[in-house]
Amino acid sequence: MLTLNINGENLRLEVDADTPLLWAIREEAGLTGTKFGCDIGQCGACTVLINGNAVRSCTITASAVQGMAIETIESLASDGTLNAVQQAWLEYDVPQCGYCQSGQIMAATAMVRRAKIAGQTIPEVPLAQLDNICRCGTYNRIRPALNRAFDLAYEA
Amino acid sequence: MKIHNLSRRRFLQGSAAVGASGLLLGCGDSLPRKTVTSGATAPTGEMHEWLFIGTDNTIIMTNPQTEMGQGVNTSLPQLLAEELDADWQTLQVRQAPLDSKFNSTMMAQMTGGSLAVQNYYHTLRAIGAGARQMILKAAAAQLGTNVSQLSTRNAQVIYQQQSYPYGQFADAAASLPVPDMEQLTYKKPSNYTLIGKPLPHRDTLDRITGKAQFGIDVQVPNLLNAAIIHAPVFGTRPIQWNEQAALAVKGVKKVIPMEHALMVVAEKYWQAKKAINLLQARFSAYDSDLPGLNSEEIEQAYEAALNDEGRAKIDAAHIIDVEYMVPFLAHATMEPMNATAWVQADRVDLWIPSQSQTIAASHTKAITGFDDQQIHIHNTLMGGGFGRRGEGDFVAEAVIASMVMQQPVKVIWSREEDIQHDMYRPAVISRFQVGLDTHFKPVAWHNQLVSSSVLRRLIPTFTPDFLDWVATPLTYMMGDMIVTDGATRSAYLADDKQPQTTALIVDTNVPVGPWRSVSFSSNCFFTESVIDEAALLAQQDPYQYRSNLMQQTPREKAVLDAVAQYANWGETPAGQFQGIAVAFAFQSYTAMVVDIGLVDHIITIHKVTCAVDCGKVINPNGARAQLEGGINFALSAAMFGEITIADGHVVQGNFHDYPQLRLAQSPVIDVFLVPSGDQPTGLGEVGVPPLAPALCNALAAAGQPRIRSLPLSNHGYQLA
Repeated sequence: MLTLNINGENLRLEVDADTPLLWAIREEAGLTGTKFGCDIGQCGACTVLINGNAVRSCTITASAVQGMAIETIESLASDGTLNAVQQAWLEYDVPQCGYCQSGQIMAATAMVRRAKIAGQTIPEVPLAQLDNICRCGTYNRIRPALNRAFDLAYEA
Repeated sequence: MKIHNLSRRRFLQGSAAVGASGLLLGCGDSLPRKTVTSGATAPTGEMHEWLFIGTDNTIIMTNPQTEMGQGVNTSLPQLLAEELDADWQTLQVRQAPLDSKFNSTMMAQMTGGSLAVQNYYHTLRAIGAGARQMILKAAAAQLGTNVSQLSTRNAQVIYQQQSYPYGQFADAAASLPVPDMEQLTYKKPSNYTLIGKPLPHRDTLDRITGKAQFGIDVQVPNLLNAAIIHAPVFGTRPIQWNEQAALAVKGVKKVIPMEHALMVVAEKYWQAKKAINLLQARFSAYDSDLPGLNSEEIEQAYEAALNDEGRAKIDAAHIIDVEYMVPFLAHATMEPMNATAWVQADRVDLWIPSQSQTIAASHTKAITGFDDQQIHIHNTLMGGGFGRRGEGDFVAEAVIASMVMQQPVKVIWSREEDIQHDMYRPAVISRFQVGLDTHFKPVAWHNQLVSSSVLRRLIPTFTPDFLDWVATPLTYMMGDMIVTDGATRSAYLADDKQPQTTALIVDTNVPVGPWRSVSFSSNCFFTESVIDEAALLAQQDPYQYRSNLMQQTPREKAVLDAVAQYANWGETPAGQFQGIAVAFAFQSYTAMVVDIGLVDHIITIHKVTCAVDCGKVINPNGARAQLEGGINFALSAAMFGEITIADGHVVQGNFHDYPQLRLAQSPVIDVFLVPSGDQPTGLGEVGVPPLAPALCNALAAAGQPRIRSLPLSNHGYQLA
C-alpha cells in the first residue's frame, strides 16, 4: 500500500514498491488515459507530469513518486474548459488514432508551462523537446497546434 | 440494392435508454451477400441493422467499418447523415457487430484495402435517402399536406416554418412500404452540407481528454489480465519453464502453456508481466524446412530463385539491368496487440481493437466451436492498425485464456512481443531488364520479383473450414497477384509494351501480412526508381521525361503535372535537390516531390509536396490527415525501417532498435487534392508508395549513388 497524489487527490493504492507508476495509474487509480506503449521510456505514450515535469511513467516506480504531485490527461480540462494545449489540438484536429495523444499533450503542456514561466516564446523552444512517437504521423498538425498552444497560454 | 424495413421486429438497445420503437432500416444490395435475414434483437446492445430512428429522436448509425485513426467514424457517417439530413451533433455511431450483412467487397467484415468510402458510398447514401423519404411521407400524412410542401434540416421536418423532430414520425414511417432503390432521390451536390466539407474527426474531443476507449482500456467485471511470451523462433514451442517462480508472484493465477507461447494470468497486468520474466522459458530449436534462420539465408533463397528464372534477353540501344531490394517491416502500432475475451457456456464476448470481425470470429469458432450467433464482438477504437489488426492471432490467445480461466481475460502483448511476432511486410528483391531506344524511350520492361506470399498466408483464414483442404493447394496453383500490385502496368510504356513481370514466390519461415499499402509500398519504390535511372541515363529532367512518356494516362499525368507545378519543380535554391515519383494504387493517383538538402550524409527534408486524385473527396480534412500520415509512415520506413532475422528470430525488439520518425524530423507537407469525377477512390494507403522513391530520386539528383535498397540508414544516411 502506498499513497500517491494524483490529480490533486491523495489515493491509497494497493501496489507493490516495484510497480511502475504507469501501471499504478492505469490499474489501481483506474485512469486509463495514460497509455502503455513501450515500457522502456522510448515512445512517450505514458507521459504524465510529476511536480510539473514531463516524465515517462513506465520508467519510474510508483513508490519513488510518493508525496509528489502527479498530473494525468484526465486532469487537464477543468470545469469543461480544455487547457491551452488541448484547445489547440482541438482546433487543428490533431489526433488520428489518438493513442499517443495523451502523452503528446502532457509533454506539450509541460513545455508550454515551463516556457511561460521562463518568458520564452516558441522559436526559443527546441521542437526536439517534444519527441513522443506518433505512428499515424500527426506531426504536421502537432507543429502548428503547439504554436497555437503557446499563443493561447500567453493570452490566458 | 434493396432497403428493408425491420421496424416491426423487436429492437432492444441495452446500454442507453432509447425508445424501443422507431424506424429501423436494413439494406441489401447486389454484392454477393444476402442481408437482413436476422432480427434486430440484441440484449447486449448490438445493433444488427444500419440505421435506427427512435421516437425520442435518437438516431443511431451502425458503422460497417472499424475506426483505427483513418477517420471512418467521420467519413462514413457523413454519407448517411447527408442524405438523411440528420443532426451531425447528435447522430450516434456504433461499430458493427459480427454480421455478414456489413461485409465489404472483400467478402468479409474487413477494414482495409483503402476501400471504406468506395465500398459504402452508395449503400450509406441510399439508406439515408430512403429513411428521409419514409419520414417525409409519414410527416405529410400526419400534417395533412404533401411531401412537396416539406423540407428537412438537422433531423427535423420543416412545414410552414414549424419544425417537427424526425422521431415524431418514426413509428408511422415504420409502417410504410420501403421505397424502391431506383426511385430514391438524392441531394444535388451543390446542396451538400456534409459531403465534401472538411469536418473535424468526430472522436477528437475524446482523444484529447483521455476518454477514448481503446482495446487496452476495456474493463469488464471480474477481469483477469495476462502477459504473453511467444516462442522467439517462428513455429517453435515452449519446452521448459519455471512455473513455480511465476506462481509465487502476488496476484498470479495460472501459467497457461500454449502450442506457440506461454501466458501468465494474474489479477493485474503488471503482476503477470513481472511473473512472465521469471519463467526462464526454453523453447524448441528451429525445425523448419523453409529458409528463415537468418536474413542472409532468405536473401540467398531469393537470389537462387532469380538465378533459376534467368534474365530476359532484350535487344535495345540502352539496357538498364539492375536489382533492388526492400526488407521485412513491422507495423508497430502505438497500441500493442491486445484482446479481451469472455467465454461462457453458450456465448463468447470479444472486446477487441480489430480491423476484421470476420477474422476474429473465424479464429474464435475454431477454438470454441461456437457459431456466428454465439459470438458477440464489441469493437473498440484502435491505437493504429496499418493492416496488423486484420489478423486474428491476438484474439485467439484471449479466447483460449478465457476458456481456461472461465473468466474474462485481457491479454496484452509487450512492445517486444508486438515487434517480434508480427506478420511482416515481406522482404522483396526486384530485378529489372529495361530496354531504351535511341531516344531513351523505354521499349522493353522485364521485371522478376521475388517475395514470400501474403496471399498464401491469408487465403486459409478467409476460406470456410470445409474448404481448407483445397484452399492452400490452390494458392500454389494460382500464384500471388498481390505480389505484383503496382508492377504490371506502366504509364511510361505503350500498350503493347507493358511490363513483363514475373512473381517468384519463395516461402520462408517468417510470417508476412498486409502492411499499409501492401505491395505498392515496395513496387512503387522499384519502378519509380528505375524510371528515374532511365531519365538520368538519358540526361533528361526526371519530371519532363516522365510527363513526355505519359501519353495515355491523363489522370496520372494530371497529378504529375500538378505536383511539379505546386512544388516549383526545377526552381530550387542552390544546395537543394528535388526528387519526384508517381503511383497508381487503390484506384487513386498520387504524385510527390521531395525537396532535400544534403550535408555529408545528413538529409534535411525541406518539403514534401503531394498531389492526389482520389476521385470525389468526402472529407478534405480527413483526406489531408491520411496523406500527411501516410507520408510520415513511409518516411520512417524509408529512413530506418528494417526487420532482420538472426538465429530464426527477429532481431529488433522496441523503438530503440526499430526507430520511428519524431516531430523534429518530420517534414513540412503540402497536400493538394486534385478531385475528379463523382466516385470516391482509395485514400488511406495512397500517401505511402511514392515517398521512398521520390526521396531516393532526390538523393540521385544531388549526385549521390543510386539507392537500390532500403532503409537509407544502411547507406549511412541520417535525418537532420
